Amino acid sequence: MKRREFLKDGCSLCLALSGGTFLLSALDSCTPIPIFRAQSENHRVKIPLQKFTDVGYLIVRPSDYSYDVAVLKTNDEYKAFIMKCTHADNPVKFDGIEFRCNLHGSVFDKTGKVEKGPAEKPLFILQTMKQDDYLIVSLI
Amino acid sequence: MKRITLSILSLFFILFKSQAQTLTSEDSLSISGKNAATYIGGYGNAYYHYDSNQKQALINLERAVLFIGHRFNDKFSFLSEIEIEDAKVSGGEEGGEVAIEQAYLKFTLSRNSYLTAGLFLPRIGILNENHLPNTFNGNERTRIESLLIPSTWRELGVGFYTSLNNFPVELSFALINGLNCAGFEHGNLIRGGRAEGREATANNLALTGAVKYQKNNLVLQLSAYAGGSVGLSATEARILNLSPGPFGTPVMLTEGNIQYKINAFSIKALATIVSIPDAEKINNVFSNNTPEIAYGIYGEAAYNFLFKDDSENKRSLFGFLRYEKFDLNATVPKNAVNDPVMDQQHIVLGLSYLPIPQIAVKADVRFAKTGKETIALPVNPDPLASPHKTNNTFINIGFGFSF
Repeated sequence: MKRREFLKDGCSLCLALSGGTFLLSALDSCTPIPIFRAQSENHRVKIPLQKFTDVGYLIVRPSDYSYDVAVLKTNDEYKAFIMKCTHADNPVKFDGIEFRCNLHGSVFDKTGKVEKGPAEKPLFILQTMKQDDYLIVSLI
Repeated sequence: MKRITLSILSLFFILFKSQAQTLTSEDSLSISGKNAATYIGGYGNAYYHYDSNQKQALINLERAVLFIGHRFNDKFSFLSEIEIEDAKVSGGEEGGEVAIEQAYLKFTLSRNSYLTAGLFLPRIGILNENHLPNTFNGNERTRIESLLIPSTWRELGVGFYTSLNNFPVELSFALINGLNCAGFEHGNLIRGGRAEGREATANNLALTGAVKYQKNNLVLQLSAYAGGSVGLSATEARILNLSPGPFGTPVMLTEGNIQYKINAFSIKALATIVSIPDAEKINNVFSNNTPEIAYGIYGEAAYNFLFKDDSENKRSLFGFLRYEKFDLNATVPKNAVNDPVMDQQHIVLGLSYLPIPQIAVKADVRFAKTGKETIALPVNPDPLASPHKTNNTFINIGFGFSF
């Protein structure tokens, strides 16, 4: 890490400590988590692309499926993760930056990679496909 | 038809390998979470510990824990942890412990909510729920989350966990067996009062609750515990002048913590207060020098020198600094002795290297400062004990793992 980045991050942390970030976060909490309830058909769910707001992700709740699916949008690319910890199948939470499992403390980054064990395998990625104004996520 | 579709999808995923986990046909059968599955995992840690005042070093396999879980279907699961402490338990010898750390059934109510029943760890503090050695810095657990919040604090009962639908807030409540005030100890506060699943008295109960906010790498949590500490029958308790009943002779604990991460920097802080308003009555019966109020705070800052490592197995090297301040007898009743030794400050400075996210190699130095020893307290002092020094330095080198 370069010196400038180090100083920048250090100052940001100090600001956070002084309370500014907490206030912003408190205000941010007023933004609802985008949840989309989807009817699954033939192991697929269809999500209108307009559902993806500025936050860059959508929690999809397919019917007849045990886990939520987090769909993250980067530029014009979509990645769909099954929100299931790969350690002991416990549901994970997505906090906007990382996936966290409350059961044993595993943490996964935005690409699904393990940041903190005990999980060893990355999160499962589901196949996505754009079709007209919809994103199709294949469930298995 | 469904099977054919599944097989085609599985083949499709095998062909299109992605950065994340590649799915196999076997995965596809279990991934929906509807069929039965058994999981085995574990964790453990060992360390070298040097006490500079005593000039005494020791090496210990502190914990080896086996985790076994079983999912019966998408509604019911069983989760357990069996722990061996200090590597060996021998008849007639002190030290070591074999214990069921957790054993509970989990019933999923909905995508957001579930119930637990059995022996489990209520959500209090940071370490109690997430105590795997590769998830925290330092060889030793924080003093505050060992003495004031006696992690790992497990009790028998039922719990309800839920998260709000549209806001990043999780709530949990639990009804569990209460503590036993006969087991309170000077220097260990309520730790000895835990039943840990073994023939707990159920005349006294406890309620715990936690609110957890989690968004954009910021975690804020508030939790509370309130419970009775006398499990005796009403007649016996009244003879001893103790208040019986579910919440008689109460113990209350409140805790708040924050964890925040920005790129390579992370911080965490925790504050807790334990209140035992009937401490005087407890001391009259058990003479265990129970305080009325104890409190503790700690803060930790860490920096990951390998933050930008993007290898397949993310490596980390954390440098950290922690400050802890607590007083186990901040307020004592008339019949107790205030022991300044219980007023302590600790500074821990160390490194944690994680070659893979499941293994941590740790080295740290702990500088401890306490108040002066009081002559009013030791009834039968150890004749070989050296005089208490208010400053001490401990060196720890060890490793931890989980899988």
